[in-house]
Amino acid sequence: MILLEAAQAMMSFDVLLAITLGTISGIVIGGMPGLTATMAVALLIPISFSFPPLIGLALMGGVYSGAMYGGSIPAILLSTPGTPAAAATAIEGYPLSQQGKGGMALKVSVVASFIGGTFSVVVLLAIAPILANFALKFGAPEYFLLALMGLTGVISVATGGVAKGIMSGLIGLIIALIGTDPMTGSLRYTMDIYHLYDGIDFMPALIGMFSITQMLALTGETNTAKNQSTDFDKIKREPMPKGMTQPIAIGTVVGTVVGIIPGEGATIAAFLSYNVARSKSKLKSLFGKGNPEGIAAAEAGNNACVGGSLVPLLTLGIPGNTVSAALMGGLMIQGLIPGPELFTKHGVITYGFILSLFIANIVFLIVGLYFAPYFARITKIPTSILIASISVLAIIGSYAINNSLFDVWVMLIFALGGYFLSKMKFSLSAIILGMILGPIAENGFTQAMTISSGSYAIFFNSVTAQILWVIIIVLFLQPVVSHFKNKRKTQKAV
Amino acid sequence: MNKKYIEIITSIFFIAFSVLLYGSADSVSLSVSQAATDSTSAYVNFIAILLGLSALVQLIISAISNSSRIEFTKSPKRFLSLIVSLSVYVFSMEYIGFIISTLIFLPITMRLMDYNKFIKSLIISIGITLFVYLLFEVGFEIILPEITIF
Repeated sequence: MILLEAAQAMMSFDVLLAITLGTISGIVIGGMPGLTATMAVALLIPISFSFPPLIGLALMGGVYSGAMYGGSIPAILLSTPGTPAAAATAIEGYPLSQQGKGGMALKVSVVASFIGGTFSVVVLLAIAPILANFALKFGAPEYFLLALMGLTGVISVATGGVAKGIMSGLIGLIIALIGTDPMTGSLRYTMDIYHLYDGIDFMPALIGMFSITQMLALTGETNTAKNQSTDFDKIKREPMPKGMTQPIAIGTVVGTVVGIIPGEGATIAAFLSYNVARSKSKLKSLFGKGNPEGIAAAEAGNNACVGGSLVPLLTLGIPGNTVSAALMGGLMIQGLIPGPELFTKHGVITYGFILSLFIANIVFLIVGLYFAPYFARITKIPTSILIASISVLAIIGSYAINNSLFDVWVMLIFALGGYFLSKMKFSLSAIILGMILGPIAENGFTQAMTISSGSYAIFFNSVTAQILWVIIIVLFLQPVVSHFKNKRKTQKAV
Repeated sequence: MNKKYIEIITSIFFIAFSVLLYGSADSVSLSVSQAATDSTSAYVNFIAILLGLSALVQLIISAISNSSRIEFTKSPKRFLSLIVSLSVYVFSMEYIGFIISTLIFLPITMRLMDYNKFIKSLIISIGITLFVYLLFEVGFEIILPEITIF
């Protein structure tokens, strides 16, 4: 019944227009090297909060889906991945373009993206309500452990190593301490600056660390695209090649599962899908020389991540990656607190949002099949124009959230700090997730400690808590084990 | 710059910071309820201890690792120009408002980023300023910063 209501709400002209515009904007931003899906969603939040919740969320969902697909277009035609998640696509896509099969590669990419994206939304629709219902039984200690699990997931994939990953997450938790103590109401670490009494809003921090930081990085680039020689108008349209079912199925399943695991993002999903498809392929020798199976697996994988990553966000309020963290900001700004209540109190909006992702997939399928080569032209926009215009959008976006120039200064401080920390291989994703999960972790921890009169045993008593500990330990040990495996491989090679 | 020394200095900074954080834990929250105060202090202590330990591990890793260079930017001139122009833009917006400051910021920043087509940059600047103004001020009724010096 609620699904029917949600479908009716979603089929209104305004919502459909928002999905279409969002998806096309996502393809454009995703297709622009240097601009990421996180940045696209973060920049859209100040715009989307002026709309009714469903329209705002449909816009952001469209951008997320569109950006995931959009990255593949310049990856195939110009060997310039629009997003990091499309890097695996470029390995097979660009050689195909050089062989005059760019049209076929684009077709494989969009069809695989569509199937991966759609399947993951079906999974989201099927398991999210069950998980949300289960989450209703969670108490304070479980919420603390959930926050810890979310952070551990991000830390485990941090490129700078586990120690820097942990420090990054803790920096986020420390920043979240600033403001009013939720238990006692007393002020802490505010330095008598009244703007800090409510804490540091994570949205300006997010915009700073994922938009301006990226612009600062682009100052070192003269041109974003590696190769501008492709004649976009002469790309042939070729039929879909045979034998794509298996790689698409692999990418779809791997991407969805990877998306659900906290911390594992679309880039990992794409490369993992690509590697699994290569190991199962009958045409292994063609990989790296232009095998469409590689494109199919990678694109199905990174798009399947979209629905998967929304499972922990919508059901438990735990964003698994930075795009879903940005989406969480979008939900909160609309007054929707991620967690089980989304499916009970705000069912029509939540299901409407999930259903809108189906439409977003259809929109990028149509756009991709008919207009993909034209989107590659956006890589021709000079970096200088990109830097100046995105900076204005980031600054006005930060200002618009609270009509405050203080937030803009906060955004700039986070941009500069984030830039230097990222250069030193600290994880910006872990910092922002620490900021978001800080209040959840603190409330869970302090409430549990008060209930148990200071006994830490409360964090180990329930079965749910014990399961969460197992997941945390597995997530934590994963990079340590792979570090030693790689070391052993290197030693053997030597 | 030498990556090894920067990492060692950063690790020492975080160790010192964790000590300060640990020291501040007891006075961080004041409440009539001792249990509430204790639980908040325990949470802050938990974070401080973890930070101190991970910074110590990082210090050891950095100390025994090989020295390598870290490049903060490929173009220091453009990098610093953008930071300065962003800061001046935000500072000036409070006094001369959104429209004027944006119309000045955009073409200057494009020029600083080595875009040489002046007329084109001016047209793009007017277009972007108009788009942002119409979207936020007219469309969403968000009052953007206005001139306050007159």
